Amino acid sequence: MFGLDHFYNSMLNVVLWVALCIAMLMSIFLKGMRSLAQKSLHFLLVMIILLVFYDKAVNQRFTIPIREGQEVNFANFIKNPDPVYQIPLRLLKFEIQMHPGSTMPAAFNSWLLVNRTDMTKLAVNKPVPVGRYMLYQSAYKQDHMLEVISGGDTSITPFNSKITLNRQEIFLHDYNDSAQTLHIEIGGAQYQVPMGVASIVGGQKMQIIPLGPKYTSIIEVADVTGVNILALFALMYLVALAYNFWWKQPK
Amino acid sequence: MEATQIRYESFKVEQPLLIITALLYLIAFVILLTGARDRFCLGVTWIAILAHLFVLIARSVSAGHPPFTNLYETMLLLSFLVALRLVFWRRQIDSRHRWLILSMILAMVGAAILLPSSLKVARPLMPALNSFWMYIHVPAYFFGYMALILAFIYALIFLFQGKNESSSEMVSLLKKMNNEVKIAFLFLNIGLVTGAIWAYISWGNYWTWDPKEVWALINILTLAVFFHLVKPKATKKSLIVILAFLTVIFTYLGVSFLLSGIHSYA
Repeated sequence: MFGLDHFYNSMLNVVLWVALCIAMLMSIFLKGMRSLAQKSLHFLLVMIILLVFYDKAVNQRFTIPIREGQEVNFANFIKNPDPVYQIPLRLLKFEIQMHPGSTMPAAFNSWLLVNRTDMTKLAVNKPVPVGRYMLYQSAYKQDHMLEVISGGDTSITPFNSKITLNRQEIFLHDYNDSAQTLHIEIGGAQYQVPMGVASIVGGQKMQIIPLGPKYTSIIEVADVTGVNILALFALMYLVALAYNFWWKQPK
Repeated sequence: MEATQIRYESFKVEQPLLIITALLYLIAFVILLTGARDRFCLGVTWIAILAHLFVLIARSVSAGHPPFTNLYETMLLLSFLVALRLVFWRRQIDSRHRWLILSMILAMVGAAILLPSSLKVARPLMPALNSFWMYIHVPAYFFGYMALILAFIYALIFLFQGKNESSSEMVSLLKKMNNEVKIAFLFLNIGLVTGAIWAYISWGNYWTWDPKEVWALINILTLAVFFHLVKPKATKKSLIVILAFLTVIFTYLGVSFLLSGIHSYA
């Protein structure tokens, strides 16, 4: 809106916050403030802003989408991963409860197998730690899945996706409901393949079997280094604010 | 009785009860304007508050959650908090100015009644809202808004009547305005911090430059100017309070209707 999305990530925004920090530090150390309570309050604000800078600049944030039954390697999502994060994550089951008579979910959660040994439940508002990272149950999507069998090779995939079978790239496009065929593309050539029936496509025997819907759990991951200190400073700031207003009136 | 039946029954009584509440506030307002005994006005206001409380309870039962999640519910909550402030801290508020507060309450309850029914529908809570933090974050903001409404009223009175800043009446008025601004500032900060902690627990990100977040920060920065004036003249302070009130109105109403973001449901 109003081009402000660019401003938030711009250097100008950073410069303005740095200027505010410098102004606050100057008023603390150059006798702009006399009361220790006021100095502490403004010092805490500077620390909070600096910690936010640190978190935004250094801590990594990423998203891991995992389909039911799928296993991913946690380290693959991290930039410059530490070997200790070579952790397999498997989504065993995705559970969803709807509000009665509504399409709005009341709760949803993922049953994850971490490191092939620890089963854990990841739910909204109940993050799960993995080392210095925290996993958050963010969202989900439901895909109708297909099993594609060709030349002894098999792939399980959702509609509108790209797979590689027998070193060939296959694009799976739309499903034609009336003809019950799937529009696919191999090497630029277009085909309509009947569902569930083995047929010859591009000179190769191929069978596409509909498997029904499967959930994909969308998991947000954040490096949480320093964030607890940030929360502590924010709470201290609130206490200092109340103290400044009501317990210690500045003269 | 089944839960859905109880919800339906609560929904049926909510609107008539809200109209009765508005009428009771109107009667209290008329009593106040006619200059009748303060005790009568107080009695009617108390009955109105009781009816208002029943509206909030009926709404909570019909929605299945506290009345914190949309414009209609928060309007009812905010007017209730202002009404509580009016009766519990009655002596702080000069009897000549109480009609202004009652008119604010009437305006909010009236607006809640007149809102289109699509905005009054109780919707189930999305999972992220189903959190302990909602019970701190939302009331903190509305407690802050309540204090800012009072500060705004004091600022208006000062600007319209304050010929002499040093008269004892104006000194007392400015002291009350200062106190309300402090309460508003603290609670807006509590709202912002608890919102950030809640967002962090829900999504792993405490700040996303969402329009509501940005405007909540603008509210705080505007009020911060109040405390940082080099020569704190009362007129300047009053103007800042009015400006802060307008930014809060935009945060509360404008952002919800004009800008989209993660707070769009509110």
